[in-house]
Amino acid sequence: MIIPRGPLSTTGLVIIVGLVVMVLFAQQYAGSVFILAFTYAIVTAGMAVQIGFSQQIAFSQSVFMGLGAYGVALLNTHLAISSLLAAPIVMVASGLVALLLGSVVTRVSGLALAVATIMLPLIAVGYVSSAGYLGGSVGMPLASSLWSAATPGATVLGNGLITVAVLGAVVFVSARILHSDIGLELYVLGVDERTAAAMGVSTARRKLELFVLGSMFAALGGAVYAGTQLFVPATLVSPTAELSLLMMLFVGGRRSILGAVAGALAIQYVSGASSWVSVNILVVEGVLITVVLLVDPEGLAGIAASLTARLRRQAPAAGVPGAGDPAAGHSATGHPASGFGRSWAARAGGAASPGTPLVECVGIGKDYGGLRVLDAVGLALPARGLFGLCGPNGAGKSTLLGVIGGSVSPSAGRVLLDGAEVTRLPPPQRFHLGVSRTFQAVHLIGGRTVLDNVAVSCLRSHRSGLAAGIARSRLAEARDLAMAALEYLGMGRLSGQEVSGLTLENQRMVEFARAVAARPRLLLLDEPSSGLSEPQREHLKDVLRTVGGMTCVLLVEHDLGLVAQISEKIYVLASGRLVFEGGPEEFRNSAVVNSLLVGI
Amino acid sequence: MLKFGNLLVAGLVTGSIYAVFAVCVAVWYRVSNILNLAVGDFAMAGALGVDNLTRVRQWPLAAAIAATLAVVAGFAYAYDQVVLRLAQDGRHRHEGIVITFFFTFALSFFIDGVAKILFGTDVHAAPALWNGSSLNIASGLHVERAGILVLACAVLSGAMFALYIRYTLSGKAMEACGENYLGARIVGIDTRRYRRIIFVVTAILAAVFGIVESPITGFTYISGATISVTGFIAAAYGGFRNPGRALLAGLVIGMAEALLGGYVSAQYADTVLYAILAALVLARPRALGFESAVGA
Amino acid sequence: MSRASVRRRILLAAAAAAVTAALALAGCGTSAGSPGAANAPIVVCGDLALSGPYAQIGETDNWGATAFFKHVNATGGILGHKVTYIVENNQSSASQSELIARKCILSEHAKFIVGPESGADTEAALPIAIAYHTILISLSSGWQTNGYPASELTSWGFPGFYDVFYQDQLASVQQLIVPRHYTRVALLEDNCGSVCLANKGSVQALAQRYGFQLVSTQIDQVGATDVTPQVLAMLAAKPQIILFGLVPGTDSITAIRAIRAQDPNIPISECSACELPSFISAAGGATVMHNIYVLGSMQDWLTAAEQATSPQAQATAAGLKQYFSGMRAAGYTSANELDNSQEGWDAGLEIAWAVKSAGALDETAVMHKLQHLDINTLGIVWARTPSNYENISQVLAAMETINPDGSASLFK
Repeated sequence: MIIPRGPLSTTGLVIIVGLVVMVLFAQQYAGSVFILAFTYAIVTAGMAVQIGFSQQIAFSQSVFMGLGAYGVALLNTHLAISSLLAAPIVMVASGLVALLLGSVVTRVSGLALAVATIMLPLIAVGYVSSAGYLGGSVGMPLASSLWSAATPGATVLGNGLITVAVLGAVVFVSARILHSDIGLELYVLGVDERTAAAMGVSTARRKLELFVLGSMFAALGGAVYAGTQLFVPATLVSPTAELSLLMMLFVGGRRSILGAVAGALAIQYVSGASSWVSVNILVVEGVLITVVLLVDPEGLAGIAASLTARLRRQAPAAGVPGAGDPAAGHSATGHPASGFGRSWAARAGGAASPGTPLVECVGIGKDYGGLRVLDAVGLALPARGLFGLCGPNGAGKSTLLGVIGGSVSPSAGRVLLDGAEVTRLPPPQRFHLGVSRTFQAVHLIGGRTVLDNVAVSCLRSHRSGLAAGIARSRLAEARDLAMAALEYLGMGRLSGQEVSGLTLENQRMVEFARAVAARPRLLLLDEPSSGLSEPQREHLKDVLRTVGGMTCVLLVEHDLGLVAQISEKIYVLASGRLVFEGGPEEFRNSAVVNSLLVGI
Repeated sequence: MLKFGNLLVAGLVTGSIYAVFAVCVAVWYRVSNILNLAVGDFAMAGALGVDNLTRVRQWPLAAAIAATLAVVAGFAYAYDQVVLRLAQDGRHRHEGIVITFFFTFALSFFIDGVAKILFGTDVHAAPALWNGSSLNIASGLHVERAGILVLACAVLSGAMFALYIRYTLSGKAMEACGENYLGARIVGIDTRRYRRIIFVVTAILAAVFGIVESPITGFTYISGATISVTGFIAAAYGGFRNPGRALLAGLVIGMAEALLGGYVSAQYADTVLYAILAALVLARPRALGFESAVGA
Repeated sequence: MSRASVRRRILLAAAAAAVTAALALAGCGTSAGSPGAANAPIVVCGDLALSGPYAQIGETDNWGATAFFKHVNATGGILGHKVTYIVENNQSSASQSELIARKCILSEHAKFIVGPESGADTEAALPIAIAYHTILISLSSGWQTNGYPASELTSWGFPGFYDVFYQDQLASVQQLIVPRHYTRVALLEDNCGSVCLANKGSVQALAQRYGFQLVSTQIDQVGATDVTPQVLAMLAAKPQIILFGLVPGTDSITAIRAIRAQDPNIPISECSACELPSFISAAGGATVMHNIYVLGSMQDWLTAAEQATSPQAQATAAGLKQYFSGMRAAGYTSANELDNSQEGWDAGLEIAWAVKSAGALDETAVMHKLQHLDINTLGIVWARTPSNYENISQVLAAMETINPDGSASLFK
């Protein structure tokens, strides 16, 4: 997994290599090969941001590349606008188109998104082939290139330098975004959309922004293509072209800007490498993609990262440079009077008005098709305290947690927070009201440090647009807050470690820390002790007791002993109904509970 | 009326082509959560292999078919053993649509490239299995014999898989593999074996279908790619998991294409069809069997 | 080792790697000897599709060109210079066609480029040839109907072949429609670009001139799996013959099957490359091919030319005999190879003639000669003028039919 280098060094590398290559080879055939490769790299760099971080593939980039290319061609041939000027015009126009298209398309995800967007190149090919003004199935020539000079060699040099400059700009913007606090949002969005939403990320908005960004860069790539190749073939919008772009991205490394650039260069190099290779290009590419992806699913970038990690002889990608060193001036661990603890206590532990429960569920019902998972469940929790939620498997505990957290919409009933109705409020908004949770399956960002993972819930960027990430990043503030939370939980020493190397127990603790770092007013924990060893459970109990003194904690658990020891009140669900509600003593003695839960 | 009838028949035949590939994609996706984007290329390999053996090397038809299917089966088995096993169970366990369709995508390139070397760039087709001119099923209503075979093949394969999954124990075990990989392994189902079996079976089915279908359209070494895309699309609209629905989706899409061509515009039939399909999946993803977007 | 210096090292290493790779890439590409030396070989570079959708055409073009230049070298070369023919693969892609044109000129120092095969690829490569004053002989059908910018139509690029779509329709009209007094004609054309879609205009013009009616025109999207809607629409207009304006390949098979399913007897003309044994077999055997007319193999063109008496026919026959012996000498002996490799050979003929009549290798002189091409290249009688590169006076094509045993015979 890749952590991007700083935006300046990434961009610097790309620009230096680009300049050197263009100056050396502009007068030769190789120069033009590089220009084509850099042109594709403009598109793939955008794809790395748009696709690389989500599990979502959208097959729309070739269409936007075509939009950019044809747009420039039209402006150039009919309105005599120079390609250089036409490029930004076309990019902005494509952004608007992407905004319209994206707001429809990003409503679905996964396979639905793939299927919906694979229609785009198919429709585009059909349209373009029949559009006389676009040159039909053949394509459209341009009148003038990005740069015009006296000799062909000088023209190539000029075009090449412009292409490198555009690529540099795209790489810079992409890297800035990935490095910013918004970048961290994108990382967690890519790992698991539900977790991201629960941590305050406006998933729908970010997905739309990513779509627009990727599409604009694709259009820019298309504009550069038109301006350097002087001819826009109709095949530019085809599914084959789209698959070719995806291939470049994946071979290079889908989560790496440099990888995306390297992928474009690699495929172009392979295509022209030798006669035998180009004649048998299908076999060569088939084997190449398979081998590269088998060796490392992160492609060439992943292979490069593993190699450099081996050279450094430490765990791969030990954090972004400058990340928190577990030293500097934070207060002692676990002390409730530490800075973190104080600010949390100030934020949580008080309800809107005395006497009103912090959170209240009234008559919650949930049906999935014909299956009734929750039936008239009601509970009320005050602003502070530890509460347990137990029940046999399939009783509806996680569903109820989802209803309170917002990821599940109940079929009946209401959820109230501070007396206000929040039943249909989506998870990111509930997060901002102070609800935080953990999940049964741990979703951490592999390849990032513990500190960064915890910082996900400390981000202040949720309400900012993607563009804000380019301008400034408040990632350092989020990291500081995360560090304070880790210290508070006694996990400070873990902060610089990369999460994939952690044991499951530690990963669960990191997830817990992430939920806590948000200083929630309501903390929902889904089986926090599962997978933990005995000493770890003891430690968890201590932590939970401390935390329960600060805020309201609702804990879904199978470890009845643990629940009975720390909760002040326990709810028991069976087959979707609340069958018990009471303190630990009653819980231990209840006949209903014993018959239900024996053996768990 | 006659025009409608002939269009419907033609649409059913084309739809059967989509349907069979949709079934192959859906069944294998169900058991492995991988999309087989090389399914059209296996079909091409079947057709071109039989053509090469019968026309160039003068083998008898039955032997040519048996040999070609054996090679296809062997290759599919080897590919699963070497590549897919590493991809799914190896050091980097690959999850997510993202990686899992790239391997079969690369496979389709590879098969096409090998086909070019072996069979050249011309158009080929396997010999027709049922010779003769088109049949007149009612006055003025024509259907090609090969078309009838194609339709029969499609219905048979869809029904076969649907019954297998619903009524046999191994069919259910196979389903479990796709639903919950780890869970299936825990209860002792040999997921690896099921995946391999189904991969090989769908490869053979695709090859058989290519042999049956090629007299209608002909194949070149790159024809497989377009077919794989349509198979994927038809499987998607069948919900990806249900071979019966995939079959139906393929037939419906084929008929829609023919009817649109006959009554709206022959030139734009495909474009209009794709626009409709895209609108459908965007408007009602859950009704079509997709999980919709999560969160806000 | 601080992080910053590690990063710097990686940066430098990457830059070095890139430069090395670039140098390696630049080194890939043969250099064809220093031009300008007394008897330096003439370099002809093929910008052809050896992979991708046009590979079938590209391969045959390559065979023809290879055989021609071997034949030239065996008979003393051109003005005493041997010809080095190098073929590069443009992968049926416009961007690659352009790159290959640059490679031919900059790395291989080619004096002539042969190819590409499609309108799009030619349109991409033409400006390069023009910019470097290198003669390019395109093998794409149609020169004025492909949509090339006007300034490029009368410059350093030349058509190496005639507009097959137009000539095929003309042959069908002259040899079938007129003698049989057909009045109702239907047309099925591919959407391969403006040159394909120009079929409609051509047939309409022919209809005016020869007195028949174009009752239905249908468009087939290249690669469509089913054309029954188009076929039903055509047949509803009750034509007596169906004309094809299709790209050779699966489209012809799909169309033939769909038509024969509805009407087993209606004549179909002209089916390109349909006399190939592999095509006949793919279409379902010779019985399917009855009443289908093909502007066929070079062998039948030779037979037809030998049977005719005009000077042009005699010249055609002589040229074709040379083509066959040259192809065989180069090792191309199968029916597929011999039947369809004329385009590459024709391009070679143009080049050889132009250099010989210019008497010098000076590209401007050769280019001016090419602007006045008036030879007979295997049955194409050129009458090129500087304002109309595509002008031909006639094509001595031979129409043939497929016999039940799969062989082809001349249609009289």
